[in-house]
Amino acid sequence: MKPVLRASLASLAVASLLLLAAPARAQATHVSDTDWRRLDRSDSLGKSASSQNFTFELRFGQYFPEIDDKPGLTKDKGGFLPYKAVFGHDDKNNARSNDQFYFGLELDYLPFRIPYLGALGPGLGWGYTHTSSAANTSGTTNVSATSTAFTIFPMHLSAVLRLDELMRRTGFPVVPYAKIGLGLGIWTGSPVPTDFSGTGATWGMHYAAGGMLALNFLDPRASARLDETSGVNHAYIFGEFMRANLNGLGSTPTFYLGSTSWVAGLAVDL
Amino acid sequence: MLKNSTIKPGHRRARSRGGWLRATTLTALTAGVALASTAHADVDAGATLPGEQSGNVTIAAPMRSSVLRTQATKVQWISHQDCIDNIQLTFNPVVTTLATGKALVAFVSNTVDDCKQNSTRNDPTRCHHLPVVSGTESQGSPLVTFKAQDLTELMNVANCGDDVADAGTANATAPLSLKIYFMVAPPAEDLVAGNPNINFAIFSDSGIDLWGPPPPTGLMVASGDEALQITFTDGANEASDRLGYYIYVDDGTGKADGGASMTTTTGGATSTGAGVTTGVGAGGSTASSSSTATAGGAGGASSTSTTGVGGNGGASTSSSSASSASSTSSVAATSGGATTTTGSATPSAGVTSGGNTDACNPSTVVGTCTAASLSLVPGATPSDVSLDAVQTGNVGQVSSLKNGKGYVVAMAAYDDVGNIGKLSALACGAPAPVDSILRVYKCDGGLTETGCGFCSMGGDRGGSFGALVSAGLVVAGFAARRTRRHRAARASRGAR
Repeated sequence: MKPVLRASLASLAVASLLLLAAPARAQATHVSDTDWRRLDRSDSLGKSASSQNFTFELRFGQYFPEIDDKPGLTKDKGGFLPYKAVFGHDDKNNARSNDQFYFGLELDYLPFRIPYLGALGPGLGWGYTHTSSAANTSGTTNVSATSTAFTIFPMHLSAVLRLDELMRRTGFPVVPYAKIGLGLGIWTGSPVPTDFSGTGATWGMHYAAGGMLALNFLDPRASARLDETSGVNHAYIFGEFMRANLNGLGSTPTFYLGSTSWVAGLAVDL
Repeated sequence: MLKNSTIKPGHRRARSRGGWLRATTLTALTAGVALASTAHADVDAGATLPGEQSGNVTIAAPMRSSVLRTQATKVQWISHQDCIDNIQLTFNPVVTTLATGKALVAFVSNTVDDCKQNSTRNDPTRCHHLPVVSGTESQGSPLVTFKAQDLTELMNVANCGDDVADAGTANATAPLSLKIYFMVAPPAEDLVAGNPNINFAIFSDSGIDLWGPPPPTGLMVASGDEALQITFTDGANEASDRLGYYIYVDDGTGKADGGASMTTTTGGATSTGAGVTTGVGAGGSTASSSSTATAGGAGGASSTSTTGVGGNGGASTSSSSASSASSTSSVAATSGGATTTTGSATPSAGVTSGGNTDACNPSTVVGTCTAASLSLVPGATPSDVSLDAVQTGNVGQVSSLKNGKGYVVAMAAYDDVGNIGKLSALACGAPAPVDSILRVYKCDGGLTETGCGFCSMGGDRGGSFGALVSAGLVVAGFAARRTRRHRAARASRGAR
């Protein structure tokens, strides 16, 4: 057999197999479960989906207050700076890490759409982190009956850029984003010495960058229904590198409240 | 028909001490007799009370002449203080068709002896007969008043239980439940269901409890910042009627910072002290419920301490006005550094207080306390409640104290009738400043603005405000630019 003929027969055989396979697949699938629509319907989605102007985030992570980073602090007899000395042990004086659990909420308003790039707008974030420990009696290593606690409310007003055009045009479910803005940390501490204020605030800068994974691909139909009924366009999980540089913005704050940390959470587009 | 739990409570409620009920002991106030229909109108038909009823006699819950003591939950029971105050319980039995010549009689017994049985009813040691009213009315709802001291004496407890040798201990804390019977001319036979001559009602939600639960043991005091924390072990509670514990704190003057004023008394009518283990004299007798109290008794013979302590004044309605012949003396505070945690008290020379308590490097002095110079006397019964109470758990805390000052602590249990038991052994401690984050931060040089937490918001360069305004301008600029572009686009579409 000539090579040309052999190649032609082989091609015919492959084509026949494909032709046979397609009806078989169609027969194997129930008609009501088929979805003939394109997965990428970004052009039509832009017309039929609800408007998308807000993003709401639930944020969880660790927080490492930079209180001991303030210049001028001296170490105690044990060689620890104050925050580590007070919160670096548990109720039985065992050493422990002084990282804290962080919880936050953020609402972004993204009215500006930059062609071929994404959405831009202001974002307002509020966070909460708290730690407490049994305080030692002053001048001793005896654990007292009093607990001491410190709470920080890290907040920010930032410009938020979400690069979602890639997802909108190709369906690739990843949205990188970045934030930059003004940060503010409100702190409260207890118990309060007589000559000390028990609460205060520190300004600073807030930076963050991260990526969001849209979960709509897991169940496009459910996502569409969610959009129709509640206006939620996308649901995401996200990871973010956050830098809260709350050091007073050139002023001299009572506390350095910032932290560099990783944050994860859930977000929805509205 | 004999049935349980059919006694209905009336609408009337207890009046405060000195209220309108001043009836003579076991005397019916026949002036209050009203028509049965009117009496029935006072009965809450929807509720029931523990007890029994048969025939044409019904009974509602009695009214107290004194308000309940703090924390008491057993409303109609008689506590030690109720007995001292000789409060009155007034019942309002309703009798329909009380035949001429028939009398309404009352009996009281414990819950074991059944006065429905003819033989028991005729035994004066088991069923105590309380003649109430001779019936001349065909119908009636007399007010029948009992006094607390009469009830307790009928139950063979004299002097409100203060004569009992082991009063207040685990051996004498059992409450005594009572049944109060109201009968119309009971026949000389057992009162059984189906007998047409049976007309009675029984109130069984009352009793006598004259002793508080035993005190807790093993008190340990830990110091906190302007506070003391007390851990303890539960005392015995055979009667299972303990509701919680009071914490009493004494700074050496008989009055604690943040706590209730403290007077203790062993009460009783004796004028000479019977020494208790720590040499406590019995208090003088109280002439009445007025605030005048006699002098305390002589100091008791002490078996453990060097000097006996004279008894405090008798119980008084106002603790501050009770006179006392006690040998209690105030305690001079000595200066020193910050005091720290101490354990159970070992009687010694006095309360030690510290100085220089707010410095970053205080010296350490262990506080001590003594039993002999304080108003807190182990084994004595407090005359008043404390503002500091522990209802659950075995840890209590007293706050609003002064750092560096020595305090003596004792506890007493209280029950569901409102009785306060005897004081526990003493423990002592001194609140001390703690290494709180703000204090340590200050001492380590972190305080730069005299503790003003919000001073940095303005900033010495105003940078924060500048950044905030800049960010706002950037956002506003974007918005304005976008608005202009939208308008221009709409205008161009309209032109086409």
